Amino acid sequence: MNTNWITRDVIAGALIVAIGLVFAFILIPIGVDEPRRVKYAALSPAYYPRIVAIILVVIGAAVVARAVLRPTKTGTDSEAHPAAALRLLGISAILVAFATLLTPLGFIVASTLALFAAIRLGGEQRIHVNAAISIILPVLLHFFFLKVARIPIPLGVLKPVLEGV
Amino acid sequence: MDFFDVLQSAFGLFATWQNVLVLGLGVVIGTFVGAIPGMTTPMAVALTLPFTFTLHPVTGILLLLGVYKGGIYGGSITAILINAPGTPAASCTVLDGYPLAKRGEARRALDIALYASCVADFISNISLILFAGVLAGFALAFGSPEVFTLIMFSLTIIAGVSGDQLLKGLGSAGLGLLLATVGLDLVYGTNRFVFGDVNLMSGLNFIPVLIGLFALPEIIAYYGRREIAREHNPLAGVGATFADFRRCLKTIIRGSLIGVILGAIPGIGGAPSAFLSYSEARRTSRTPEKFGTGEIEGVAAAESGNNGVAGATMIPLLALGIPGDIITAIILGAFMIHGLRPGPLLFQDSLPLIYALFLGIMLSSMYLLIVGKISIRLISRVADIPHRLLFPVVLVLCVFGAYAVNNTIFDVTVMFMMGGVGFAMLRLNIPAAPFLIAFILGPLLEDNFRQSLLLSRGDWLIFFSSTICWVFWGLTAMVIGLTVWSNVRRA
Repeated sequence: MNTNWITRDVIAGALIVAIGLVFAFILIPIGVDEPRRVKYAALSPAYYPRIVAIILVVIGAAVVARAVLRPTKTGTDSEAHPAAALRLLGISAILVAFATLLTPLGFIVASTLALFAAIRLGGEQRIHVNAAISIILPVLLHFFFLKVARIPIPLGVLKPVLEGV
Repeated sequence: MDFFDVLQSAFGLFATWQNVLVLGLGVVIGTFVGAIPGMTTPMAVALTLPFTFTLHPVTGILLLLGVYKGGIYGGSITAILINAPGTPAASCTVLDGYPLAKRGEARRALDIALYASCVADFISNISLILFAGVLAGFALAFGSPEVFTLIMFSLTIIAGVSGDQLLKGLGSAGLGLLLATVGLDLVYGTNRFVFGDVNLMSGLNFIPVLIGLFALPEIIAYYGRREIAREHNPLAGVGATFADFRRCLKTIIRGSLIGVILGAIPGIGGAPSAFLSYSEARRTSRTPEKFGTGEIEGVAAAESGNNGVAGATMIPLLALGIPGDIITAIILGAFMIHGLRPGPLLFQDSLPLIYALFLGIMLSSMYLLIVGKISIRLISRVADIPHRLLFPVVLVLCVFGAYAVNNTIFDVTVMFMMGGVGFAMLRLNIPAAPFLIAFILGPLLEDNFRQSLLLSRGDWLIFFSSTICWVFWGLTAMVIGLTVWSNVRRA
């Protein structure tokens, strides 16, 4: 099967259409609580999102139509890293782990681990430079937000050590 | 309150050591970030925003304005030294700045870029002070139908920030409008897309959305790219002379005025202004053939056009409450976070605050000159910071910044999710700026849309009931027509 017509533009347009349809036929009916009596249709809480969702479907369809009728050439990315896919997978894993560990470990420990892993993945070979940045930055940010901005940052596992400091 | 009372109150609001210090700090941060290729000024403003929460509104907004102005100037440094514009608006500066640096005249180019930036910024600030109040006075007569049509017109800036991806830009704006409807309904108070989660009842906060859309995708994308070592021209040669400045003055003033006019129109931005100023300088030059080969007037034209928009984009923001570009859209959000709503009512209720901002904005031009003169050597090395260290640091700043909004992990989760959305948009060439602008203007658009229909008992003709409405519909149609025409012509 020839799949040359499936360009980024077609995927983008199809996604926009899909989002519009999901909103119009699934999310708005189940996610918007409409009052029993609405004076005018235009005042309903679902009216405005429904208009936007329909417009979105039309725009998405136009993006697809344009992409199919007048495809644009997609060149190769000369700046792409040779191990781009692996590195992108790596940073995605780091981000997921970072988001997951923030609550149990606290911001300082989770940030230190994420920072160390992200710098290493970026290609920094000097462990001492990596470790110094990874430890100092989260601690500095913690104390800035706590002491200057007066915003307490969750300490997680460091609570017994740093509480009251 | 007469003018002098207002000025006295404004001076009292402005003249604190915090304001003076923070404004300078903002210019320094902006200049540094602007000088780093890959880091954008909206990203810098977004990351600075969480640090303003506990500051006085004037102090917080001055910090952001400092970052904005510094960022615009900073982009020219790497444009001249390493042929890599730090900001899109500085791409015109490359044309003559880089050849000058290659010829060993980097210092002269940077000096003229700085002088042109400062003069243009000053002229732009004066225009802001002169015109914002007049426009705000006119806008006091607006009711909800007029405000609705005004926002419809301001949404046409999407055309300006979408580049050559207009249709996708519109789709992106539609997604932003939909996301803005999450939370309690404005009229009936019923739930919309809340799905039983109390965190969603007040809607999504714009800062996690902003950071997620503008900072995280760049960080993720970095891991897919190679780190390219660029040829770095040293800060060689002598600085610009007074004769250089005098030769460029006419070009600088013309570029500044072009910047003011284009900057005051929502959606145009710095890059077209810089290129228009450059082409005008070339057209009127006695030696047009020298442009593009290292002509000092070319640098002056690009930088004055680019910086001339900085104050002018604040005119529609302060007077009408509509952003002129993506950065002023972020600053609009900052005003809201501090409990202020830019627009005619702000001029009526908080005039001293506006004047205090004006005083700070005027001072920012001087800071730009001082920062540029003193720290140019240091700033010129900023571009050498390896991205493998820089981007992970930015990631941690994003997480702390998103958390600081409401002290909830929920906002951090929103930021991560929007980062994923933003990266997908980046890969699919869907511009993110229209999403954010629509997300910020969405609630205002819907509120005035429904209020108007409530007033007219559901009659849509209310949106055509006054001359002002017709003027805005006309302007909207004109911008759409021009955009479609230029797209058809390009194709």
